[in-house]
Amino acid sequence: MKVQSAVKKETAKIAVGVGLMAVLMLAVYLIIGQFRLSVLLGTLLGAAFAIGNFFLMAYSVQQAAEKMNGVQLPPEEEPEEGAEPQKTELSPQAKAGRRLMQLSYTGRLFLLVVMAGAAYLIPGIDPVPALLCQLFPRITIFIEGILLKKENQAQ
Amino acid sequence: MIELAIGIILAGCAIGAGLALIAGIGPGIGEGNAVARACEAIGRQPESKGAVTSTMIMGCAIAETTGLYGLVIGILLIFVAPNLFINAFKTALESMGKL
Repeated sequence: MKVQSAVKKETAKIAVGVGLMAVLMLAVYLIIGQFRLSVLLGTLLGAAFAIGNFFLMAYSVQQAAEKMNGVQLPPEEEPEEGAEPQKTELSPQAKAGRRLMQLSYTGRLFLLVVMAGAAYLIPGIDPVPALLCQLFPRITIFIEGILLKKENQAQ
Repeated sequence: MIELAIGIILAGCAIGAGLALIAGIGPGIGEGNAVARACEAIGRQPESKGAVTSTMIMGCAIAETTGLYGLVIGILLIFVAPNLFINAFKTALESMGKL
């Protein structure tokens, strides 16, 4: 299946952010005098895994969205004034999308455990920077949000 | 006595890791529900597919981090923290002259 441009674009943004933050973390390790080859290898492994994990997640979202190709659902009915909106039953395609996403999440968490175990067991790799790198995508999204907000305010 | 204290440290780490991993359950359920509703939205308005997918990717990434935080803390508590705490405990005992 072809990878959508939205997936490529978001993954590229996250990759740049994770890369910058990994360099920043290595600089901090250097400043506190803890920089070793194992830290560098741990950072490389962790950063690569964080980017790969984000890509897999984005690809799963794309696959879930593509389950709706050719499906046209009727527009949602507006609830009467004062009445509570009723929960509509999910279509089979949406249920399949939900299952796919839950399966993808479980699989990626399992991969993370495998990666952490490998980082711990392989003597030349420090597991702490490898695990810290997993928090970088969220920080990247947070910073991106702030930058977009400032941009919008400036406009 | 020291063995008992080390045992308590290890048990504390294991219980803490177990509790931290509970955080991994919620994002899986929530992410699935959010994607299912996004699929419904795409089904109702196919022209918004690109925008919905882009927003969902970011939303899922944010939702997932909660689970990742829990997992990372759990893994650190299992693999890294026990040695750290036991060494700190032994250092404290040495400084007090009890070891």
